Amino acid sequence: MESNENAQAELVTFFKTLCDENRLKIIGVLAQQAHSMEELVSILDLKPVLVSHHLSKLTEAGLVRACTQSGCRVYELHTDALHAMSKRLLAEEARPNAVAELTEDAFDRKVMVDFLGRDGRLKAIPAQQRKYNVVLRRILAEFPVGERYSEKQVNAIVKRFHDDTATLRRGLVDLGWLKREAGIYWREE
Amino acid sequence: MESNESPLDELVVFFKALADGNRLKIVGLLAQRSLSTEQLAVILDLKPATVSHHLSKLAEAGLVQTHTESHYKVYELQADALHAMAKRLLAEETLPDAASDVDVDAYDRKVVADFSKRDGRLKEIPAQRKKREAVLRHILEEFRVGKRYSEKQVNDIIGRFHEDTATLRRELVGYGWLKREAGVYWREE
Repeated sequence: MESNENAQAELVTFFKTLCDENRLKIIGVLAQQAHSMEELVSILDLKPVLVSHHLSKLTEAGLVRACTQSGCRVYELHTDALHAMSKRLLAEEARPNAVAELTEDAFDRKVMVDFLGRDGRLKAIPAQQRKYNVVLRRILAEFPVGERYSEKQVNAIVKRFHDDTATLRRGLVDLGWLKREAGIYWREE
Repeated sequence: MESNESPLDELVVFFKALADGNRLKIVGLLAQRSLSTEQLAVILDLKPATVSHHLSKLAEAGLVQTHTESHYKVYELQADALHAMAKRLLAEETLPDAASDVDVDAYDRKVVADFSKRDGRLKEIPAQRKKREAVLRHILEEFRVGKRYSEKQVNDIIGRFHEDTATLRRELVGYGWLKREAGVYWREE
């Protein structure tokens, strides 16, 4: 699977490009026929610098490309990009959930989805070590690096996730994720 | 999504809803299973208020729906809506709708105005292809669809705009805008 983050950033850019009225109008106009910059300026009644800005954004996103038609530079809609993106959007959602195919990030999210109750607290503590680690990692995120906590404070934070604070607190210390000395706990990076 | 919105507004709302990394993550998570605000907040490590904000944007675009489950508001992805919308909005036939309130003739009018004298005759025949086409389209409007004209009649009509009737007549035929057979001309739709 390609990098999730990259794919997502690309989708965001794509949607960002399209959530502008004037850009959608340009796409609509170009869907009917290719036009020169001059024509678009008149058709949309916008300043040339604005049209040029929108065209460069659309070109960057691969939605529009410039070509030469009878000696004139015109812009045409690049529909392949639209179709590719719409397929991608749908595929995103139809993506198989098989654990083996998930990236580490996606695995973490899947474990959290499975173990969280509606109230956002853990329904159970995972028995499997890999899943248990995911849960502990998430709890650890509540502890800013460098800050010092009493055992009571640690328990209060852990309790937001589950009532069995003793088990989870020990789990964090056993993995070395929370350090402990003389009754004081802290997170090291 | 409101049905009384213009296609353009609808498109902008849809793309805006998806033009955010966290919202795309929420869509991905809800594709696996329905989740509450609390669950999403823990999984994504976001404030519940932030998650609520994102969910309302997605709901506005018709992408998620909510129901109540033992005191918790639970969100589910409207996968059908996502499919339908992506297909519909990205379909080539829909795109021109985005430009439905755009005046595509504005360029032609500007060119014709630039090249016309007060009496409506042309100062000159534009040398630039795009501009010449605009002027030819303007002249073509004087010919009624389906009516048949002799070459003399064609010249008379064109002569109202410019004395070089031969050039303009040949251009109109060259573009296929006026048809010609056995010395008879007509305009097809």
